Amino acid sequence: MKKLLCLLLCLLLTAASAALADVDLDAYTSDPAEKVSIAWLAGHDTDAIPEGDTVVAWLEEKFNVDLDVWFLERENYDELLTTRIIGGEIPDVFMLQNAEQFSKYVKQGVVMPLPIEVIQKCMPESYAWLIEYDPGCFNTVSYAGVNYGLPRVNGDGRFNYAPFWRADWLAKFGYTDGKVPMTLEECEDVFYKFANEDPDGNGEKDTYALSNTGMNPIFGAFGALPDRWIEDENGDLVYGAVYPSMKDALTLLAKWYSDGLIDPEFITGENQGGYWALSVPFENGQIGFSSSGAYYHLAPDFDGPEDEATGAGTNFKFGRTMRTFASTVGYENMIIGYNPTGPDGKQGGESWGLTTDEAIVFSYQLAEQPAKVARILEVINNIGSDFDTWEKIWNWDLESDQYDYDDLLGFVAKEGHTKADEGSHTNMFNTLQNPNFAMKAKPAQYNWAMSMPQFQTGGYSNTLLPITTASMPNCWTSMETLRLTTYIGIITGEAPVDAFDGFVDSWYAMGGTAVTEEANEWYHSR
Amino acid sequence: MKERNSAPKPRNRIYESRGEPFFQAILVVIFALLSITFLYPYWHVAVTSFTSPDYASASGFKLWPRAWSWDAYKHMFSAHFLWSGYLNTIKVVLLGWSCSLTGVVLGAYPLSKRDLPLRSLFTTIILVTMFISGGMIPTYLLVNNTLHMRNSYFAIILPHCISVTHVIIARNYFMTLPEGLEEAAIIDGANSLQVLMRVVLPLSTPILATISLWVIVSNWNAYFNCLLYITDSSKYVLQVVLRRIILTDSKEMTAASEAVANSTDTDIVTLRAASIMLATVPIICVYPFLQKYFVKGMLIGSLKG
Amino acid sequence: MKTASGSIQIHTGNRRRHFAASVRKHKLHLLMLVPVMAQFLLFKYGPLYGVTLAFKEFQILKGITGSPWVGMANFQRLFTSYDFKNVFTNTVTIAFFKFVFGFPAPIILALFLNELRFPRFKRITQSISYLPHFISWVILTGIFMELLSPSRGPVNALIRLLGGEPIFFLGSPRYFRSTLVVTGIWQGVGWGSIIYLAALGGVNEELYDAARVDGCGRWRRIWHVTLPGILPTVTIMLILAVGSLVDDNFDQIFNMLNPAVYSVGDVLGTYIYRQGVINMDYSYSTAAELFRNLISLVLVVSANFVSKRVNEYGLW
Repeated sequence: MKKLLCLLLCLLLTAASAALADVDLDAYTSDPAEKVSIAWLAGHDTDAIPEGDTVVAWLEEKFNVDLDVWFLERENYDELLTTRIIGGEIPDVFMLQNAEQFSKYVKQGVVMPLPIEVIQKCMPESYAWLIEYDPGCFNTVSYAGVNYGLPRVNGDGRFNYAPFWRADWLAKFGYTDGKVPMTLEECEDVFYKFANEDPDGNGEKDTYALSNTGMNPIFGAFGALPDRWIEDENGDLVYGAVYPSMKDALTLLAKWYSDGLIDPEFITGENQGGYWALSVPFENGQIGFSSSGAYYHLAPDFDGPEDEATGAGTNFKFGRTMRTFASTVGYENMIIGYNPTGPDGKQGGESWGLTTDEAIVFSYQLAEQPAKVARILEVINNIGSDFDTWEKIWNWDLESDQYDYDDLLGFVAKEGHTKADEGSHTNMFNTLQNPNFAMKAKPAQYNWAMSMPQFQTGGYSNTLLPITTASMPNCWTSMETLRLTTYIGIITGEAPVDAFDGFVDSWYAMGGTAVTEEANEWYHSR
Repeated sequence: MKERNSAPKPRNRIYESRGEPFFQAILVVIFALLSITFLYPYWHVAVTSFTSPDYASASGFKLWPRAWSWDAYKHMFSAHFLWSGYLNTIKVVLLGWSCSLTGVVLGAYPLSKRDLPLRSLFTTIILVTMFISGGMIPTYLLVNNTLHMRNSYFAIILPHCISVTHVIIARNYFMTLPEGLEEAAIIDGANSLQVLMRVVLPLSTPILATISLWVIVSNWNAYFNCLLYITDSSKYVLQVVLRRIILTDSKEMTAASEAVANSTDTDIVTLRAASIMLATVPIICVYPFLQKYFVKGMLIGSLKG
Repeated sequence: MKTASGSIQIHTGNRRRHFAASVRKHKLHLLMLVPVMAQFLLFKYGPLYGVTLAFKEFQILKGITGSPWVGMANFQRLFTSYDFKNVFTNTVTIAFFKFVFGFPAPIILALFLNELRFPRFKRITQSISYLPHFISWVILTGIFMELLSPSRGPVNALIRLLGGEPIFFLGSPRYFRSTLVVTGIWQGVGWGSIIYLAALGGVNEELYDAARVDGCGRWRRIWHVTLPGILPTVTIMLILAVGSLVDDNFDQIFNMLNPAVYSVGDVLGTYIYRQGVINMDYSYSTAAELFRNLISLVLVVSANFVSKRVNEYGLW
């Protein structure tokens, strides 16, 4: 009896997988005349959409759909989503915030498989630019060889972090006319001068060279970042923290620390509880080198001085981080530098990667409703690839003719124009985040970043291993704790540099071996 | 600093002995210094909320805004649902306060009777819940799917309205009340409810004030159950509205989405500070009203003799 | 005293009759308990089946009742993981110091406030003392980083002025726990003293007059009148505090913790958060919660036992 049951089950399973193997593409066709209701959560938002919003009404009419737009607060997203699902409600299409969530929902069968063929058929235009922008973008939404959703790309990911310097300090040591140290050796030379030769000229030895975020470019010069996976010489994935050359980086940093080049307060972080991309020691004139923000945090004031009377020009009154520096150390004393090149010519800072680890997935219930899936994909495709639709979503305003396009500012509302709706819910519908369109919205920042080679030296991103491997949940937290404590211990001299070897051994023993194997298995099977 | 003057001289209630002025002076100095340390963080936040975003992130002591700005408040006040948020929070607080206080008194008073039948069983039933709980999901299923309380403030209030600790503390307080008073009332023909209302509660104002304060503050600050059960934005409570306004401070945000979310020239630092001020100033004002009940207390003197 | 009249003289023979009489006598009291018990049974006992998650592997689509049993696997994961021992030791140590210094602090504050003779100053001081309670630890931590900074902070400026070496309070393993304890007390002392002020409001004024007539000095008066007056409250608060020893102040530690002080500051709460709550592993966090509650239960029962021996007050 039991055997028979087993057999039956096996048969069923094979049948299911066979059905999965060749998709009935014809089923994924929607009849435009049929009104489809969609429970929509294919993005994130900061607030719920009020009743009677004209843009939503327009979308409903345009696509002949009935939208039930969900809103779940981002900070408690997973908790709220899980609870709602258990309570019997599930959005038809929704976003998952990271790789852990994605693999959890996939493993539990909450989301349906979405074959690439279906995507190619139902959203050809968007598929084309997605693949062109990042050929590996679907890696983040596949699990065990099956695709489960749509990726969200990140237009900012093409720019790496670049460090910035105190220009007035550099000038004292011969770096004038926009010159900055380019190699690790040059950096080291200047760092010693920053710490020892009184760059701020107050007669006291109260300056350091760098703090927490300034270490990233240094690690990068040795070929890895401690918390990123990298591809080693053999083409295999290896975790940055255990990459052999990190020992050289730590040796150097430990020496710098004991020679007083590193702000001892790096341990509690550079932003000191404020906005994440700020550097408190930098703004206080305690350090002269940092890498605390992305390119758009460092953007200059494209508009020139603000017109106080009208409040105009506030759009581009510096990037967030630069704004603080402009009012503390002075804008003229800031210079954006390059990630220094190391002994083997390697360089790079932090980078976000071209694709985010957010995923757009479909409810398991839609596996039986291919027509509905097709309609949803059409909506997403249209917003992601049709500029006219996208523009209305971006401005959250249907009256496109009320906007002028400015090469500096992007879309500017005409004098006297007031929007029909309060607020903006762009992020809820800008599902794929087409970077070519986003560039048009903030042309000044993008063009500026494009013109700065500093932001294009390459960086280390998370995209090499965008998944949670099978054995990670049981050991990863402890391994990360060990990494953080070991690195800080070595830098501050609490532990000798040779503690690195012991750390590598324990890291692999704690589960690193299994995780690395799983990572490579995935990496080579793509 | 022992008092040497041991002779009974109750002439002056304020200065009992020669050491007293000195002792009072020391106390005043200590409390003044302590008050400064207690006040500073709040002052820091207040100053930040009025500082221009250009300077708000700058570190250092904040005694006075380096450049005044109302932008953060302007932004907050222009937000959707801020005023309805206040109104809804007040509704929740009042509703929660009446439910909780009633529940705590009704639970604590009978349990303070040492000869109540099955007293230890009842006490145990209540106490056990301190150490074991089913967690969020089953509670959600009960409130949302079984009781259908979605979008009702009772969903926020009822599941947590009677706190075990409050019942225990109130019960304990009732137990310390002299029994003579109650017995006198019973002899006069009052029933238990009348005794409770006319004798026990008037004598318990300090503990009722304390529990009221606890309940009011926790209902005022509560937001998670509102996130869970309230989907109608016109019913959001203040804390949820404020969180929405400042929620854009997240590292995962891309430049594009940060730009969309943050279209005005305010800074997350000043916004957060302003939201703290908006959320805490009203609730802090509640305390002085309750304060008088702490000192009033019992008038037992009238009973003795 | 009425207390002795009811339950003490029970003998097997008239037990039932006695019980019936007692119920009649307390009819209204029992009626009062009905809504309270109903609330507890519905909202606390109703969802209790959720505890089974600690022994299951949670599946969203199957719900709590349908998820498969996994025995003690979640507990095994909790106890056998690499840093559990360190985390547990830290939890106990920090809880101990917080308790030893943190429990008496609000009592002392309340007692001294009570001695203060200037009513307006007293009221204002009181109101100010609980302000820190209203500011979240995220913000407070930012402010403390500034105040305690070795290079810029006023606290270290004072230390330097007195000829000492600056101390990195938040980043050095030697000082981190003390910093936690002190800042924790500072934040909670005013708010915590409210219950004792309420209890002090209940102390019979006549006893003070009697003490004064007897010629008691201030300290003897505090010792013989004030303290016994608030003893019931102190006892209950003490037992409750013992019970919450293991729920370390998560918000505070989570915000102040940094890798340099993991060895001394990483506690159960932060550890469970990193392991389970971050990716919403409900089974795991339910197991951890259950473990913590069991410890609380043991602590409270023992504290209650001791307290019943020492004085008559207790939870049961």
